[in-house]
Amino acid sequence: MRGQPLLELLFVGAVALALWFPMRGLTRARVFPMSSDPVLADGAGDTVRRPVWIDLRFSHAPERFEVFQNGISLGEGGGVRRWDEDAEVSFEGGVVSIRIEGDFAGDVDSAYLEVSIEPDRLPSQRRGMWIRRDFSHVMEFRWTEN
Amino acid sequence: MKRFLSLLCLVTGLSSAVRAEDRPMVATLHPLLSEMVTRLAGDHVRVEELMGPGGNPHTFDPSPRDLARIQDAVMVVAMGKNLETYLDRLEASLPEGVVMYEAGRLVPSLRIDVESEVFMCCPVHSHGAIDPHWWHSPAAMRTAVRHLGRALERLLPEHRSEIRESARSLMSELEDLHRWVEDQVSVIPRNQRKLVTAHAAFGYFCDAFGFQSIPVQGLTTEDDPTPAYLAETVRIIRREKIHAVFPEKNASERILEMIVKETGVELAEPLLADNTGSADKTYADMIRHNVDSIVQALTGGK
Repeated sequence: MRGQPLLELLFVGAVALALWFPMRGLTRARVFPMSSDPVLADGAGDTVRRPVWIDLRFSHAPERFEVFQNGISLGEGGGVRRWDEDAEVSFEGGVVSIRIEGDFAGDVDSAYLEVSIEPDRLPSQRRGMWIRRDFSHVMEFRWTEN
Repeated sequence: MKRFLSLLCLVTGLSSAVRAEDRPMVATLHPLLSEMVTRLAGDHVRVEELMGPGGNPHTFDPSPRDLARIQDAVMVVAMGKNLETYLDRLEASLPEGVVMYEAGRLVPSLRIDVESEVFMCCPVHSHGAIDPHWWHSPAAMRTAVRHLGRALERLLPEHRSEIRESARSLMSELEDLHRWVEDQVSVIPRNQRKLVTAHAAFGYFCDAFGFQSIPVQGLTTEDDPTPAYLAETVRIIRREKIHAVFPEKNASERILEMIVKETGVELAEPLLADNTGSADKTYADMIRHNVDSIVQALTGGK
């Protein structure tokens, strides 16, 4: 190859290219997922089913109530001011949507309802609202990174 | 008649002793877990505690005698989040079928940040690892109690409703305790909620109640820090305008004096990080002690 600068240049370039690919893999910045939270790890756009704990607190005991998600009953009760249940619910893009319906006895016009949902490995979330005698409300709970 | 009564007492005593032995054994690896299991399952289980209230969970390692003591256990309850680094070894030493339960497993995790790395309890709990001190948030303890209650229900299905009721009552107490802490710390202005401790054990507390955790060298009982670390400690205390620091019990007097002299900072009552410190102290006592100490130090007792 002596005296053939073009060939030498091509040779050096080929060697550099051959070395560049493995070196790039070793030296470039890598991103490791910092969170192992189950909902987030499954992807924000996906629907996943997760175990949760649902905790309802009423200021006045309703005659009856039932908790639904997508038309499927997650539990029901009545005559108590506090009720809790373990259930499995769908997270759609990190959001859980549930519907609570029921009614109160004749002497209660309105009452306060507090709903907590606590998925495994994720922080608990709580929402409160005023409800009327025959009630049916949809509540949304969202879990996002940070 | 007296002899008959004595005999009756003896027979009754013996039969209750036999009943006690019939109860399933639950081994616990931390005194706080013994308290929670006892509160949940009452007399339906025998609780065998491997590490006592004076133990350090970061250095505790069960001896062969400890392992022999829990060979009849049907369930072993650990704090989890890799606090008990010996857990795999312990499991291997037990007969097959023993339930290994990690109380903190389903509690939301916090990771140890870069700045806290050198102040952690041991090399296992360093940067990027999960902070194992989840019990410093009563809300986290409530979550753990709920799951522990369910695990005990599976173990003792005949006492399910009793355990469920105990869990509800205990969870309610923990919610009250959490609210009590919120109420107590509300007198500390947000910009003064800086918890300067010996090692980064209070991440979950800080996260729950809006504090900044600033672990610094020189407040521990470990070997004397290097002059460079001490200079860094003084620099952090001045930069962050820290009013009080929380040293560990038995930390070096000489080092503490030097820090106080250099910065004018107040030495607060030591916090209970890894244990209750005494057999007659409960989880709530531990939280109350820490909160009282923090509020007293950061408000100057006003």
